[in-house]
Amino acid sequence: MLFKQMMEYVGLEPDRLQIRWISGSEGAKVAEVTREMTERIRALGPNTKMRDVK
Amino acid sequence: MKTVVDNLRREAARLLAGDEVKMVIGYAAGTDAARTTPCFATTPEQAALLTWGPLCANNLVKYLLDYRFEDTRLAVVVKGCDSRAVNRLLQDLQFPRQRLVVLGVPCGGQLDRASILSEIPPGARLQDIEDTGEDLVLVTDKGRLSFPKDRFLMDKCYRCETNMPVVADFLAGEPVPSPAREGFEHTAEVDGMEALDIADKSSFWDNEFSRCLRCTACRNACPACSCKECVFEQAVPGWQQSGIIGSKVNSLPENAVFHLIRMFHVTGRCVDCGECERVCPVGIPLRLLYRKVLKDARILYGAGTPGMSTETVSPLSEFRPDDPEEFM
Ligand code: SF4
Ligand code: SF4
Repeated sequence: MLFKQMMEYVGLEPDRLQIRWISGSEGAKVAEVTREMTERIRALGPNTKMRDVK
Repeated sequence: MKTVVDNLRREAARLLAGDEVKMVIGYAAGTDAARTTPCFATTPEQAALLTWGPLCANNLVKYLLDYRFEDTRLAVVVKGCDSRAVNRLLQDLQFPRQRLVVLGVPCGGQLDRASILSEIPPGARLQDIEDTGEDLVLVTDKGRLSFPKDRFLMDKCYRCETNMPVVADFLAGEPVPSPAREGFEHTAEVDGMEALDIADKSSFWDNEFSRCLRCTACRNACPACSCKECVFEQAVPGWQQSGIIGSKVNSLPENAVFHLIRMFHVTGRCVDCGECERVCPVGIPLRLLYRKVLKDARILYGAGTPGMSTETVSPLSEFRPDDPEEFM
């Protein structure tokens, strides 16, 4: 939570950070959360700010 | 001021003569009148080199870490803000209390060297700085300039929380008034930053971070950074470091990551001594980052400024059932 606020402070979309506690026996939940997170990130678009210029 | 210096020298000489400590870490006159330099006195004679005044900005507590794995006893001179760093190191078991003698000095504020030097007319040379009690007088070879003492203090001093040490075995002088001023809110600049929208924040910090040299001076001066080996040196094994430029690549995203990680790592540790910002060669407003952390830790966990006592636990080292939690 603290870190999320730090990200926001330096200008990163805070929504890019998600943390979930899932036990090894909750396979379905892993799938569901991953799907949900992918959707969320897709909506935000690529993270151009942190892309390395190489 | 004079008596404080005398007291300090006398106590340091006594400690060294009696072999109570092997070394006294303090300040000595620097290469010009507007500077002091860290001084490591090991004999009673060298104790006479010690000095104290409004130009002793360095936080000497950091040097303790260089001696943490030895068995000698040391003494260190601390101001109010530095003393918080002593408490933090003691709390983190980075230095044993039995091996430490804390020599406290009363601090009426530290001067911002750059602002003083900018007052001196071009071509003139600063020869001495005199303290008349009320005013400070810059003595140059082209004349004397006098100004009120609290005119050119460092920003942190206007917001000083403890101008007297919070921990000390010996106090070199009577308490002096705090340089803190009305109207200098702790969080004012942080609030201003938070109020910007995210694109403006992003461009502000991009602008700052793009100047970062990744010299790690900020980390090296920081008493909160006590790791023997820093995470930023682990990205590539030590023996490859000089060979691989990539490990220290200075791109803007890498710099931003460096600062974000440092920000997180000093949470609950940063005592707001301002050393990071003072030593940064490119003038990045680093305290603006770490004061945000102080503010958030205060709001989220009710944590006060770290190091005020050795009793309070750092917010990230403790779990309370009522801690705010967003991700469960
Ligand atoms: S001292 Fe300044 S330039 Fe050096 S690494 Fe720290 S922020 Fe970057
Ligand atoms: S982060 Fe800066 S202000 Fe905080 S303890 Fe380290 S050097 Fe001092």
